[in-house]
Amino acid sequence: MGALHIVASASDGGAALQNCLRVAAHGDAIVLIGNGVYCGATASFDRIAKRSGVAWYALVADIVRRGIAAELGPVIAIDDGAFVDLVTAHRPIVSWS
Amino acid sequence: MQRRILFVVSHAPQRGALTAELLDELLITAAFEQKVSVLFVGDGAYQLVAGDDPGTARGYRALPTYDVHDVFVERAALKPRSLTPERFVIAARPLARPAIRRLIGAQDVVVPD
Repeated sequence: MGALHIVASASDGGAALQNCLRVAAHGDAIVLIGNGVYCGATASFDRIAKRSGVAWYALVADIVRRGIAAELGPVIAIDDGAFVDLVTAHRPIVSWS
Repeated sequence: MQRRILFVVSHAPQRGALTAELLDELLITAAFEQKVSVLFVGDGAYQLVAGDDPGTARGYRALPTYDVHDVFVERAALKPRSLTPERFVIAARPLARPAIRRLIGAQDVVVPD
C-alpha cells in the first residue's frame, strides 16, 4: 500500500509540491486540494507529472471554484467520495502545505 | 497501542507561534509513548539552526529526554542552503531520498508542520 500525499498549497513557488515530489515513491498517489490545484495548472506541470511515477488526482470542486479546468494538466478530477476512497486505500497519509 | 508517528517539518522558522505549537505536539505525542521520529525537509532544515529565540532550541534539545532519538534531515536540503550538521541545535542524521521514502512508508501516521 503506497502513501497518499495531499498537496494543499501553491505558495512559495510551489514549495509544498516540490517537497512532496522529492520524497514521493513510485506507486504513491498525489491529490491536489484547495489552492494546491493551481500546481496542476502551471506550465511545467505536464513534464513534472510525466516523469513522476505517481498517480495524480485533484478535487473537482476546488478546480471549478478557481476556474482553471481548461488549464489543468494530466490529473484525474475526483469528487469528495473518491477522495475518501483514496484515503482509505493508502497509508500513510502525508499532508503538504 | 504504540504507533509509528513521523513529524515532517517543511517550513522555515519564524512563522509566529507555529514552531512552538509543533514542538508541543511532538513532545506530547512522545510523552504518550508513541514511536516518534522527526524529519526536516526543504526549508524545514533551517529550523535546526539556532536563531535568537532560545525557546525553540531548548525545545528541540528536549527531544532525547522524551525518547525521541530518530531525528533526520533531508540530505539534499543542506548544501543549497549552506547548512552543515555541526551547526545544528540537535544531532540530525542526513538521509538520502530512498531512505526518506522507506521512512515515510514505514509510518502509521505522518504529521505536517
